[in-house]
Amino acid sequence: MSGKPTNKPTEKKAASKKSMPKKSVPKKSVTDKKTGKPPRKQGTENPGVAKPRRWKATLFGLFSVLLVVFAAWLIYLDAEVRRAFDGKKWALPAKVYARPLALYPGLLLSPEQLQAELQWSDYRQSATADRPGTYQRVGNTWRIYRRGFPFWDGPEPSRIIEVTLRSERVEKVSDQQSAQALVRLEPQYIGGIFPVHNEDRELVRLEDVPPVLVAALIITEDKRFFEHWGISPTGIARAMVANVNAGRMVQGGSTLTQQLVKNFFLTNERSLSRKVQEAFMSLLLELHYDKEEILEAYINEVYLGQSGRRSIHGFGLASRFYFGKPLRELDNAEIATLVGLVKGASFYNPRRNPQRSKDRRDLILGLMAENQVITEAESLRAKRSPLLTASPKRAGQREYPAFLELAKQQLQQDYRLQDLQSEGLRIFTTLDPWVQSAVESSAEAHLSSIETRAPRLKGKLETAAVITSVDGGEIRALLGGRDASFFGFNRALNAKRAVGSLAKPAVYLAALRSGNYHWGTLVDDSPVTVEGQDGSLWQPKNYDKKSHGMLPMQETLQRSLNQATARLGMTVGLEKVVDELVRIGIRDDLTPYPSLLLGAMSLSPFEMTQMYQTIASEGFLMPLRTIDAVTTAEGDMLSSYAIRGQQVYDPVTMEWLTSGLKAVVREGTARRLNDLPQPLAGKTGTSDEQRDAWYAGFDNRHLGVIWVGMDDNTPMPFTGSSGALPIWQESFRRMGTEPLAPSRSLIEIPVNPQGQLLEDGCSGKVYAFPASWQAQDRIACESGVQSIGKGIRSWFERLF
Amino acid sequence: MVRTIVLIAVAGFLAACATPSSQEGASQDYGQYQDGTDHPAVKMLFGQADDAAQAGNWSAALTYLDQARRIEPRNPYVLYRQAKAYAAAGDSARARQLLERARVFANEDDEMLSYLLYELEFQL
Repeated sequence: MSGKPTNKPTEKKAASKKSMPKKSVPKKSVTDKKTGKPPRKQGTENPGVAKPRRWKATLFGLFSVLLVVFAAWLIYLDAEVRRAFDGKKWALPAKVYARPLALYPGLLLSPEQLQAELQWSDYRQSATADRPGTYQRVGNTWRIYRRGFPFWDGPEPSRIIEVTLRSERVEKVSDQQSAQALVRLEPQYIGGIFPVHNEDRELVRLEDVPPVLVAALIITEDKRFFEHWGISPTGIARAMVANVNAGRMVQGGSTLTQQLVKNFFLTNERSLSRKVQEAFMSLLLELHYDKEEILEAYINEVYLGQSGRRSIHGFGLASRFYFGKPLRELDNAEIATLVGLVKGASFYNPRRNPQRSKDRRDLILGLMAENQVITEAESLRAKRSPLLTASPKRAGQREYPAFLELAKQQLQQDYRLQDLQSEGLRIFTTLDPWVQSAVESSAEAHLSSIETRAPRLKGKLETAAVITSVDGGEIRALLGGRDASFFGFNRALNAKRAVGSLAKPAVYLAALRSGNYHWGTLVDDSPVTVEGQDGSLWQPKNYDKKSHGMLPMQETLQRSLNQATARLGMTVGLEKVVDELVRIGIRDDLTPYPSLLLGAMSLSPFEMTQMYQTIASEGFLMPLRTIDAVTTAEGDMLSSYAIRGQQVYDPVTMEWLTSGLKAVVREGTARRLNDLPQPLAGKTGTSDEQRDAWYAGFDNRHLGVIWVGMDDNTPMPFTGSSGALPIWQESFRRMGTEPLAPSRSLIEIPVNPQGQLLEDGCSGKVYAFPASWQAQDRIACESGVQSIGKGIRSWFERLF
Repeated sequence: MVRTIVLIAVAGFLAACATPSSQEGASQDYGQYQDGTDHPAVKMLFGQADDAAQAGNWSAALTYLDQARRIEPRNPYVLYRQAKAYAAAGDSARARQLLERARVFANEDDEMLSYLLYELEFQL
């Protein structure tokens, strides 16, 4: 981004400012020093001549008063003009960027991802890749002319790099001289934090603006700009004639200065008094500031388009917005298209009204040739070129409302909103556009396919998703609803929904930590009745309305059996389960009702992510964060955020719990994930009457929590495994899946059908155990029914 | 108990060998676990963090180290260095949290971790 324009007045102007009041101040009246009243003049006592003289005096007095009022008004206007212009500091919205793509050997990266990231960052494929912002692909090797970029840890110049991919990973990164350990692509712009009017702009200095653009602007909008004093009487006369002929306002005789004044200080009201005020202010502006300063302000101020809520101001941003490149790289045709927008940014919008925009462009190109700004040949060549704008899919063309909302919330812990809206801060976030794109498209594809099968659901299904990095808690994607571009209700953060079976791992965690259970312990899945605090009876049912008898604990989790889980939770103790929920990161007030065991609590997808984050990271409770660093507009680092958190669980316990969640994917309710690289871990969730479908799961790099439901809480004809899981599956397939790393601390011990530990080598179902269980008494292979010592028997038998 | 005594003894010995703990000294300490990685990108970031630390620019050092962490999130040496930088920047609570986190990935008998915890405990 260019620096701020220098619109501070020079000394010369300061001098002219001082002279201004002298002109405006009315001449001092002569007064009687003793009385303070005007001295009586001779002959005033003569009644014959008194009348006309008094009349004249009254007129003079009135005139003087008017003059004083007018002078005061001018002084006021003058002060206004100078205050606004001198202190003109455009409110520069904070610019928010995604994470930069860090390229290093070994990185999981598909050709599709690299291609997409380059396209989103406005890189163009070219045969030679000979200037910044272009790339060339030969087989598996990409030659990328990376642009220079002010990263938060310092600026990096543009450079040519070569990236070779093999088997979905980066094999080699090099520059023109040697292999490189690490190279970053510049991050994509993902939105701004705008002031109330949502004005966005990128400031440019006049010297950075192509002279052809300046000339084209002047000959089109205000040919006598360098000659007039702010207003153009001939222009006004011409406009008046046109307006009288038309019987309404059809033409404005405004100079560039007047247009600037109007945008700067006044409203859009079209009235005579406003016109007069505008004219005087223009004159005053011209009096104080030179033409170059006025022109520079105009070039940065003018409104040139709209992108959703964001209004595009100034040629600097318009150039990036329409053509994806800085102002100085524009060709003649592009310059003429932008200048054409001044007359009506919406009317001549090249994307929505291409023919109209092209006609206007060609008219301006003709004017440019006529005025010798360009040659006739250049004009003809430019007219022949198509009206191309950069891809609307690229970065900066859309925003990420859900993610931005959270980023803004988190930024406001350290920054004032006002500063975020006006200081041009640069915010580097954790958003991974590739992951975000994968989730958005997977969610839409899946919901559409459900609607095709069940047309009555059309337009009613909603979704929300949170994807984080397993080890750092960085939010990589956030989906606040099905329409990813909607600024509104953010379901990922604010929809409190019944979490259903997604809460069950807390019950199993409490059981494992009690020391009395392992995954092979038998648990009873039979009808259970629990009396609540208010005396009400609670009798949970399984999804299939059946009871399944005695089963190993792992199986009850992987099949998500309600009766077994409720019984287990009551046996371990409701308070213990609540303690685990709190410890794992659920901050909501939890009332310890028995139904809590089966997820009768309402939490947002974001809160559920917090819970699974602690599991996925082996017990590290960390804030889920969106911000990596903040710098000033000039690139000086103001703050950086790194990993923080607390190890709230022994990692062995969390690995043990995860081994149960792996079984859910391997052979349980999430087994449809079997076509992805294994192992993975996760849990499906369905709330009462299928009002909510959930899936929370993780691979080695990412954790994803997906919710599907209806805003009005209507039951749906599907569960977590068919409603939400497919979105997770497709998202992770597109993102690239990395299987979970092998366990560092667990061992495997065979267990007989009675839940007793067998000696190593015995035939029996093998379960994961912490190494400390190695020393437990075991029974020999042949005597599987015999119970010994501290052998773990089914505790529930004597408890229920 | 015996284990604790041995640990403290080892830590004490290491502490005695260590350089003084001025800010400059803290950055020199980096050399002791310079080779905590085989990853070229992480090595490069370690180098950049060292340069920043030597200039006393701890916030820059921390951003390089967190970039290294994203590449090797489970390398305890990355976390050691982050902890060290936080301690040098005056945030010993966060340093301790990161050392506790490093313990998850470190070998059980990792002397460096014991030393760093000892150093932090006694504000060396």
